Amino acid sequence: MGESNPPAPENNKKQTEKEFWSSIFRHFTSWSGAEREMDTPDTQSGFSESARETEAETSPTTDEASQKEVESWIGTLIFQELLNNPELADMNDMEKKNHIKQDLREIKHKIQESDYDRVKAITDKGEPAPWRRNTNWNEARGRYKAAWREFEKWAMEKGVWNKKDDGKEDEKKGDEAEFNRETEVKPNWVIHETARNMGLNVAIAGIYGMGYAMLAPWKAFELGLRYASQLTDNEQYTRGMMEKLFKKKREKSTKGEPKKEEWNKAKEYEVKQKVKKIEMQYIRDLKDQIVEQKAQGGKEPGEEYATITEERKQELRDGAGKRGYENVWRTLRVHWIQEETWDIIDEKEFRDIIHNDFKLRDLLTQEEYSSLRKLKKEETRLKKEIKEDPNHEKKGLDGDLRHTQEGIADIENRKKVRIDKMGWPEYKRGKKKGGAAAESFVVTETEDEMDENEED
Amino acid sequence: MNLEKIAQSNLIDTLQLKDTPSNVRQKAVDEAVEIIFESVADRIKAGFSDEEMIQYEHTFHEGSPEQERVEFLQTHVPNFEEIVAEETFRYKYLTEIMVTALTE
Repeated sequence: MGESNPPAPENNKKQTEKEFWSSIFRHFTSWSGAEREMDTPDTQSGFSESARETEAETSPTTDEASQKEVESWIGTLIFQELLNNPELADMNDMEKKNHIKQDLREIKHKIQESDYDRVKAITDKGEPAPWRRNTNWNEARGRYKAAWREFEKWAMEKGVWNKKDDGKEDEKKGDEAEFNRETEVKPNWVIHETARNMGLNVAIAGIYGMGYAMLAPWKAFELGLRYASQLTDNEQYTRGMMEKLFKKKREKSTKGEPKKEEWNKAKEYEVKQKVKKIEMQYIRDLKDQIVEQKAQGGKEPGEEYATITEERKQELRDGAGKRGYENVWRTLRVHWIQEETWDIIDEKEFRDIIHNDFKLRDLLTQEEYSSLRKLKKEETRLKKEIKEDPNHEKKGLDGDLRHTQEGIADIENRKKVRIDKMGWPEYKRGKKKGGAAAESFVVTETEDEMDENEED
Repeated sequence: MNLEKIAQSNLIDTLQLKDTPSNVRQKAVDEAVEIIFESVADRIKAGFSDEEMIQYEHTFHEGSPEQERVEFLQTHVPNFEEIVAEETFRYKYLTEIMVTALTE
């Protein structure tokens, strides 16, 4: 055997931590509290395994005091242990409070874990973990709650217990609410176990897709929609999806159309969400194209994008811009066709989407885009000045504004023309011929060709 | 996302476990069932009135007969099968979202 080395600081810390939690959990297995002599339990398992050894000695003292009194007493002991945690030594009261809260949550977690262990032990047809025989789950919960109440008393005395956040009237905030939440330890395992036995066949049939037939189809559908609205974060998107599905159903019934405005709003949002998703793909494509063009430009392998000059970046952006737009537009159309929303989109909706959702730079060169932004800023400034200055006419501000607005209109018109050339006419043709024709739409004109045609 | 399709889908297909050994598939089903029934238990309890909660506390304790517990649930949770079907759907829906996100 070699020399014995002093334990590493990390080991010391772990040992101390283990001892700390051992002392806490001891109270959950002991009726007479800290006075009992017990082996150091394994904190990994949460509760003391060695309670088995003390089982023979265990005798509930409910004839000496009511259960509540025992819980309260043990809760106090538990809280004192938490307060005496060596980690809290250098903390102020607020820090201690927050730390103890975490410790209490850890205890709750262990209680619930042990709950699950108990289920497994029973369902595996094995003996329950020996120490369980010594601990009633409800009593463990009672002691835990009592520890919280002691903690609350202490925190109030120290002035660090917040009944409400920032004095707000909302009773659901602050430490009090947290107390209510954290002490709500649910003994689900018993229902879980029983319900599981009762409903196992239903669940398994559902998992394999056979459960669907047990419910009336439309009812299952409605249930699904309700869950969809609960489960997804984006309620509007779900609403859009729901409206779409309900619309289909209503088309088959005689109950009438959903409100047009509501439908359009939901639909528009749904489409915008899809466009956003496609735009993200566009950005990814754009980056890929930049990388590809870097390679074609003979750059050193592994060269970072950051080392490319601004000029070159702009070149790539411009070059990829139109292709990127084509990709987006093509994908969007196919998406619409697949989603059978093609015939729902009318011209105004189409233009609104294109104008509002696609980035301007997809339809304008960088130069045009920069000019447009400057002109719009100038327009805002001039409008404000005209409003505030009674002498605006003498100063020629009205003329300046007109000139600025003409510049804006010119650039906006270029965008419109490009949309017209690239989108709407083909869309209309496609609509007449059906989805397949629309799907074959491909942008072939370069920007230069478009400009030439414009002039024509 | 087609909700009707999800309701009718086979979870094993969704998780792409069709060609895996049977013990792997069984494990997936077992885990799904455990999660589903946690949710079922939560919902059942949340739906109890105060009186039912007292009865529940009385009925469901360590060592109480299984038959008593079953009768309690049958009496106080008449839509039990519907709850199970809903929570099963919910699980499948979440799984579908997860698989879609991972494979996109």
